[in-house]
Amino acid sequence: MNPAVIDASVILRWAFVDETDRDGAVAVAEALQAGSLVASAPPNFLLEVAASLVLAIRGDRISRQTADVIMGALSVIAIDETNPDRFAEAAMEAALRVGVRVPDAAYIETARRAQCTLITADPALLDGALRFGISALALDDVPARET
Amino acid sequence: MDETTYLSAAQVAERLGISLRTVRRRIADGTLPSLKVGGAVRIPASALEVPAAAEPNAVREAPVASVTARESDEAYIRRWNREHWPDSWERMLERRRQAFAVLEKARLQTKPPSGPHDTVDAILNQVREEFGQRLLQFIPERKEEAD
Repeated sequence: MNPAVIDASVILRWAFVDETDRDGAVAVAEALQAGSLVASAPPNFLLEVAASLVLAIRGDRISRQTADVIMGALSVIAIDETNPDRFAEAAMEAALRVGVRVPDAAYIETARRAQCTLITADPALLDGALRFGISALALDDVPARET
Repeated sequence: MDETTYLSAAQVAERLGISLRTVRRRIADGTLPSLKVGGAVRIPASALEVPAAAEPNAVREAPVASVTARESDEAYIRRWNREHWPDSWERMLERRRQAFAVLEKARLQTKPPSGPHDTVDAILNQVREEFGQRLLQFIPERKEEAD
């Protein structure tokens, strides 16, 4: 099993139609379902998803009911949550060190702790992770699963 | 004579340089051994000094300068999984597959982005900007190091 940190940009592609780089997100989803990938994320990842869904509801991309279904399904998928111990301080340090936003730094710190690759569609997060010395992979570079 | 010394939660917090709340959390989740004496909770001082490698939830790190009651990242993930996942890996994968099926149905209920401003990347970027800015309000400004 391969461990990886996935960020909300990957997760949101599971939930919305007509998004770019969906093949990579589907490959991650398939690996999770097959049990060949163990994904982890920082404690704030579901809050980021929830906040994004709220904006999508306000922007009329999604109904409230559909958003509820998505949040429920995501909680069942059971992505490992990073140990929150002293997490904020470490994320703050990463943010200051490589000049990324604190939410981005949370993923970087998660990947650092888990010593695994970070997968994201967010170029700022990808760039920050690489500058921090973390192994990181752009979502469009995730190989599609062989069928 | 080998006399056991017992400490209060406050004394442990002070010795380890962690918050009282963290000590109480460690006691509650079993990572810090404790016993009740009358109405008071006491922690054997030996728990802070002896590494217990055989017990996965016990204090793992040796004393001296690195003494800490912090649960290791691996131990935390194991515990999180025990608490959040079903009783077997296969059942977890089955539940996960069902969740992805639900997610896919929900996805088909969403609307395509009406422009670059409401793609999931744009929405998430907005969330992270706002979240990051708010968090920055709580982070003290870093003083530049003298040349």
